Amino acid sequence: MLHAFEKNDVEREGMSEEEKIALFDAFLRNEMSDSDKSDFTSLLDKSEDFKNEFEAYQDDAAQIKSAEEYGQIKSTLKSIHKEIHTPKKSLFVQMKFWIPLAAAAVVAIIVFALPNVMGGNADSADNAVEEMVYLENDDVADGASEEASEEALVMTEEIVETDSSTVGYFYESEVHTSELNQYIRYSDLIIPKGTSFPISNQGYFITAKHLVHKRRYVKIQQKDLNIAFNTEVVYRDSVLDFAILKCSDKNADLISRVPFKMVKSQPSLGDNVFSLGYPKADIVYTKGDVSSENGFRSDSMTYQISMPANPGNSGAPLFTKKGDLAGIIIANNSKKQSVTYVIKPDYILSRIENLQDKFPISLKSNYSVRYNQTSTTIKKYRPFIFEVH
Amino acid sequence: MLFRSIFLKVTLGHPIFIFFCTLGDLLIITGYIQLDTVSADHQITAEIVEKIRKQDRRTLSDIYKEIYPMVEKYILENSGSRDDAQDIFQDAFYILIKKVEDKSFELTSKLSTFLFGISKNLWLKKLTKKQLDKADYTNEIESGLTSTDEEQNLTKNKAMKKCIDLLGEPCKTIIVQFYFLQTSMKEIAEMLHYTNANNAKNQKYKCFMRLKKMMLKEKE
Repeated sequence: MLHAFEKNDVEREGMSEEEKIALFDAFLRNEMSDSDKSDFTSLLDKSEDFKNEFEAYQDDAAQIKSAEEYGQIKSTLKSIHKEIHTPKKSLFVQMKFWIPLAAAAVVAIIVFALPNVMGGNADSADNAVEEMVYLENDDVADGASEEASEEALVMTEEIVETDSSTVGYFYESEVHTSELNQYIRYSDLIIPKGTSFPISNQGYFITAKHLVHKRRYVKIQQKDLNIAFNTEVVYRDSVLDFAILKCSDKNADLISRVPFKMVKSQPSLGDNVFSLGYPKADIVYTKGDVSSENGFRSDSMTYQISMPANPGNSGAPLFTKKGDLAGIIIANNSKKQSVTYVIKPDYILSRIENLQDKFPISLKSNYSVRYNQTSTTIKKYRPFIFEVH
Repeated sequence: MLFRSIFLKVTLGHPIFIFFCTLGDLLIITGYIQLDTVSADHQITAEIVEKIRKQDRRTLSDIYKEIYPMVEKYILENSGSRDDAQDIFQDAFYILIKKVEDKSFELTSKLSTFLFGISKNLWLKKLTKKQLDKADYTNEIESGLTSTDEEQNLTKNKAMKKCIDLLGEPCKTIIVQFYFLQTSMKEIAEMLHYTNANNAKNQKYKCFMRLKKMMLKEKE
């Protein structure tokens, strides 16, 4: 590095600025050998220009250092300023007035609570409160329309009782009666309970089990297509939170081939995912990414995504960025933000395979088209996302 | 008792500590806390100077809390904003900290008077410079509180800090690590995943030259 010293002054002139600075740094940091150091100092004595340059550099370095120090002090003061201006009363400041109260509390605590405080673990106490919350909407409609919507619900229930196979109808067909008409119209005001989607074009739908709890028939509808079905709950899984719905063969004809395929295994950590569901009366798109390979308290049948989900998102399909079906949204965490649990696709697949004797669900007719734009994918998919009522 | 006071030291600062002490202990704690707070209005003691020198956060916070309101009031009354007040007061505080670093420094007046004086001077100078007001404030400026050197230093530091912040990554990290924290080139290279120290050195040189150019522009 110090070969420059051995050469004469003319060549030193040719030393680039970068080399000079490297030299200065080495000298200032004491990284030179003794002989180099003496060479350097003699050079400083010899050449006025060199000395000036060195001093200028030293000044610059000192300036940077003091500027950064200024920055550090300033940021400390700024944080102090923030503390002061977001009044947070410290325990100590208020202490004087609390002495009598605290004394009373101490006595009370020693008598009652001390054993608990000593024995209990704060963390586990917290965990006990944390819950998995199903993303289910209550049967409540928006304010003023409440009465009307109740009426509508009753009407459709009557139809259920008469004959399940005739309840499915096409909104635009001329067959339906005025009551049925009303059902569709009113249901604009009803917030759906959850979301469902067809798994194959034979009339099989999938949704979350807790949505169809103790019900034999479930109404599902798709406003874009103006269709509504009454479906029979044909299967409730004992372990996984999913159920299979079946609509009559006649209605099944209304469903075209399903444009998404189920992935064989769950997406990996960090993969982008999105979902379409009905937390309100209109379809809602949410996106997020896979944040953990297992679900609530390491439940291995679900996995966790960081995505805001609301009541009504239950039963909604989760898609990968490419548009493949990657699970069913079932719940979120009551304590944590944006923590949503999804049933793993491999479990659903294996369930469906095991049930082949009972329900011949064929996933073969499902096809997949890759779109570059998520919005195009959504346009293609949205007729397949149904409201559950 | 000994055991208990050790225990108190450990649990102090945690709400649960109340659970473990009796009324007598509470009194001790409150007493202890009163001893610990700084009243800036008192004559500045050697102890406080030492604490400011060490930039003890609690002391700084206490002083800040006590003196800032009057500076804010003054600046708001003199065509300034809250942001101005914060900026000016923090600069004044910085000058105080730098002054205290010099061991021979002695403060004869009250701390509040001193800090308020510096803040006022800084603000009046800023007003004159910005010419927000036609009036000339030079007569009002108290002399003897700050030297021109210190003020020049402050403006230079302000400008340089602005430039450093504008550098962007990875330059900012390299410059701060090398010149402020005195990290070796080898460590910086590891930090930023450069293949060797020479690459980092090369990058540092480029960053340094950029900073210099920015400073020149800033001066204009």
